[in-house]
Amino acid sequence: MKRFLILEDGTVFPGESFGASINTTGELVLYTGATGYQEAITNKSYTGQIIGFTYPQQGAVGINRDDYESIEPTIKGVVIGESYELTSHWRAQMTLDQFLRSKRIPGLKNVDTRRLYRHLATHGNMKASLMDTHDDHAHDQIKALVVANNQVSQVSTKQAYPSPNIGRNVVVLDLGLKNTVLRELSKRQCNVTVLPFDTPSETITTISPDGILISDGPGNPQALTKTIATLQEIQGHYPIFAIGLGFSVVALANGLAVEARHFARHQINLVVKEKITQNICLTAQNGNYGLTAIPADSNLLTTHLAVNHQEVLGFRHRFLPVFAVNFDPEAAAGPTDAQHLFDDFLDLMNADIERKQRVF
Amino acid sequence: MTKVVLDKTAMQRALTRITYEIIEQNRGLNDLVIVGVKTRGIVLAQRIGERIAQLENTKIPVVALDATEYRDDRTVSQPTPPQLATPITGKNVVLVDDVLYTGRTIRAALNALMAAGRPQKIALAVLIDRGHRELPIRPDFVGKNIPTARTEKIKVQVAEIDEIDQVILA
Repeated sequence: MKRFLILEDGTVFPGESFGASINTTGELVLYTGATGYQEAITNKSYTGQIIGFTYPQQGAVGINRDDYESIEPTIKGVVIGESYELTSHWRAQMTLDQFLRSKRIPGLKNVDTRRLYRHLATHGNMKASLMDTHDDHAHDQIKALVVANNQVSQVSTKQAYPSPNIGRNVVVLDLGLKNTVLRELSKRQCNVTVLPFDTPSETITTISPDGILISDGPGNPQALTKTIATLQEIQGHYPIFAIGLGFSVVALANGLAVEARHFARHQINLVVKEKITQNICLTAQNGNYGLTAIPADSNLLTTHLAVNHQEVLGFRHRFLPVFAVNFDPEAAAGPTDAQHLFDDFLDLMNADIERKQRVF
Repeated sequence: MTKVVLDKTAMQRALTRITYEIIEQNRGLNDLVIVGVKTRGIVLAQRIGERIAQLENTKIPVVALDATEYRDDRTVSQPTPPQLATPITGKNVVLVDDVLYTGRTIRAALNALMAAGRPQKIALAVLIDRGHRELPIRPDFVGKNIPTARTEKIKVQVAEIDEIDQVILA
């Protein structure tokens, strides 16, 4: 069946319907990785967004039980080039089409995704809809769409829950947590308590963790005033590691301004330089917000830089045990070069404990 | 039996973390002087100095210290105060060594430093703390704590001298 991707500037991309046959609206973002559609579709960072996959073919390996990044996907739609009708992989449990149908997510295939990429890269982020028709009404509707500002409250856990293990006590502030982040902490035996994004600092003080991880998530960090306030109260008392949206929250809490990117970045294999060692690593990045520079008088110290454009992708507090990166060290999907940052977080906690144990 | 307890990457990461901690604890780079205890302490001190330069675009003085004459197992009655490349009086000194064991080397280094000037403060950074202290000395910055038996040997190897970066336990 014919369907249309309608952008807010009036551009229409025709294609064929797959997945659920419902109309949808949302913010359109483009994912350029060759692999990782299951991870992206189930990643809560994409809440309320329509994901366009620019790699020409999608769905070859179906959907398996191992690669979910959350239990229920929160995206609004999927746009792809060519779809594999035949899924072939030993882990595959169902096809991408079956999965999207079961989760009531609409899809559009046979779209010229190269043209779509160029269009967005030139004109910037856009709202879009997947519709059966592209009449005036459909165009008016997408122009009038107001993108929500409460994505994090939609996806953050409503109640605290434990992920027990025998090691360090870690609090995870869930802004849209990926399974793989918990998995990386589990691998390192962290005894995790996952808390809602708006948890007040008193609750954290009661738990008295060895360290705090602030997760990645969807939407605008400026809307997270409660999380920012909590962070301002707790930073310095506990070692803190922040990822993605968490990076922006820490930056805002320390008086820096993060900016919406002209063209949201959802890619794998982006080159990052660790300033202190000049080491290069390839990273997965996933976000609409970025930090162009840190002023010299800031308490934050640039630790990671993008190699191919001017952007700060990692910083550390000069005086407090706080560090953050604006890429996904957990990968999934993407290269695992930066997974050592979880080891750095453990080392930071261990060093903090050793320092506190020294009595003079 | 030889076992690699820290490989090249782990060593790099430990030095990186120590560097961040030095900046954190020193509340910036004011009056900072890094002093490496010869031989491998000097190399590690230089690496910390390079890291600070990469991070903050500031060259911190890195000084080599030979405290041999101040050791308690030598019989130099009148040791010559060391001539340091940078004056240390009034400075925040971070003393760097590879392994902290009995604490006797550090005691000698402290005496040598005091003979060379009057620092505002001395902190101690070591890549490995293996325990078994015989003097009341403790490090401020530790790369890794490795509990050992006295019969064991810890060897820190650096590419500049040993052609490889690793720490081995034998």
